[in-house]
Amino acid sequence: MARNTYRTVLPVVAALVYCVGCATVPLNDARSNFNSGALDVAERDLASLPHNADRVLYLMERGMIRHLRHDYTNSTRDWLEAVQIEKDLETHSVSKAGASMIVNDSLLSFRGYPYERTYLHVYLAKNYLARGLWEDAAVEARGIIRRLQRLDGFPDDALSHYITGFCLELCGDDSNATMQYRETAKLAPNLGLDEKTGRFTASTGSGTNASPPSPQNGAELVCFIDFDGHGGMVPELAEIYVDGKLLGTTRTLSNLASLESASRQRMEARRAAKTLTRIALKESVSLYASSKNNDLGGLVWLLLFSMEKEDTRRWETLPSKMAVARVACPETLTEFEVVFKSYSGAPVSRMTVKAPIVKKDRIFVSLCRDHP
Amino acid sequence: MSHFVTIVRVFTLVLTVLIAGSGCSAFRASVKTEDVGTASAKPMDTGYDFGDLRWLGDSIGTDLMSSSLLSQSGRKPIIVVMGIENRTDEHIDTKAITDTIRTKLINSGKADFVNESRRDSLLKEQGFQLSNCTPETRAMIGRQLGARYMLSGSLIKITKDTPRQVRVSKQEQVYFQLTAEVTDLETSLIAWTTQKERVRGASKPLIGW
Repeated sequence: MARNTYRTVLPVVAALVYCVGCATVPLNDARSNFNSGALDVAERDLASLPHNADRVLYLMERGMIRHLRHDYTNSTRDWLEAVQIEKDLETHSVSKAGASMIVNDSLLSFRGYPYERTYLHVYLAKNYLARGLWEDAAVEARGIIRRLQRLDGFPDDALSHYITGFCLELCGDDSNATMQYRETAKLAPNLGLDEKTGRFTASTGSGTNASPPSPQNGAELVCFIDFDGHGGMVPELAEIYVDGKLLGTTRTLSNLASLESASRQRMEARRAAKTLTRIALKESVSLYASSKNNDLGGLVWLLLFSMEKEDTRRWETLPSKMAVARVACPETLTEFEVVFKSYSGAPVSRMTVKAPIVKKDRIFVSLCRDHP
Repeated sequence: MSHFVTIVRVFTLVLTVLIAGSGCSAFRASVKTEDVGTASAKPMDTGYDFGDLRWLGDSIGTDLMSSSLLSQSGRKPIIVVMGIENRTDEHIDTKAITDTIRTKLINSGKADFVNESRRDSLLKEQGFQLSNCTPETRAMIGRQLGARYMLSGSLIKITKDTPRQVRVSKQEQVYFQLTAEVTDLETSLIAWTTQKERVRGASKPLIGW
């Protein structure tokens, strides 16, 4: 093969390899440290974020790390930036689309599935709730509504509707809160949710202990609980205790595996068509090169197809399941215990929650996650 | 062979341009800055911006100044600002609107305001003075003035955009409405109210470089 040809091809190879392997190492390290509970190290891994096609993903992950570290201010900053970038990505980039037709879909800017975009607002709302910023939480609730109104065949989500209803309820927007609780009840009909109050009036039937009905007037605790699981086993439910007394159990409203699977199915046809087109294009380029020089054709074929890979980017620090507990509680609540239980009712893990616990009128609001 | 090399070179060039444009941050445009007058600044999108802040603050302040509540001679009511509720899906600093209104009214000399946002600091300073300052310079306790009126309101937003269809741009219209009201704290009657609204449309390209 002529020397000139190699001189021409090599820069292409270098450029493509550089682009395909674009800065995923710190992200993988951060996720690994996050999963092992080393949140400080995980945050250090993502101390500076690249301005590339994956920036939204980086911001999602770092925001979650900071959220779990109770650094709600910086977590909020990350997620608000992710929301803004994602909004700008509504404009479809011809250059990236063209490049992705030759290389692979990971060259496209990451926007996430619709449920991941909705969860940006859900977790922003949680951050604001944790800081007692009720009006800002309601702003995010309206952002969730906007997202859920444009699902375009992608799966709906009960937890998103529930937290929306709750944020609006806290701000006195009862009629809209009721609408959201109604949507929650439609998506999760077996939870015994009272559409008007957002309280759970009956046993779920899936737990080992039925929750007592919440009070009409006394203090109550609303705790959003995320389940991660240990050793591959995700708890079935969690029980809330104060001073050894059972207050009630969680209701599971979201299962991330189901959301991802349904979203993937929705995208399947579109992705398959694009992959076929890309493969045909790569074959054509390789054939043309082979017709001129057999060696070069083989090299081009190898190069183009070695870069063919599925776009598997997703927000991996999201929990496996999301639940809510809404239970009667003492008027002066300073801490409570959460016991995570398996399907058989055996305790899997437990944690004492002291923060965040914030109060609005008679409602205590809290968050926790059974993270390692 | 030389013909083929030319093709590969062109292919390389196109690919390089595509990859550079795909966002690997290799290229950055230089930064240009210029001062833009507050009056001549144009909205960049349909969202709430500083033009809205100025317009809402100024127009509501002007309306309130010319209202019968403040225009009666010899009457200078004391007002407390209780804030404007943000009922939109944007994080908007609505306190900046009431700050603008308050500045306008205080400068006009038609109303007095109690500083409700610094109440804690004020009490703390009074406590400090009581313990540490000379009697002739310390602020007297229990001589604060009570507000007769309360300024409050709410800001709403309604967004309408074109449905999903084959198109090259996305049309969007956003309606903002701000309701401001002054409530008599003695009678709980609304003594004055006004509404300001604006609709802004924008077209956003769905295809870009």
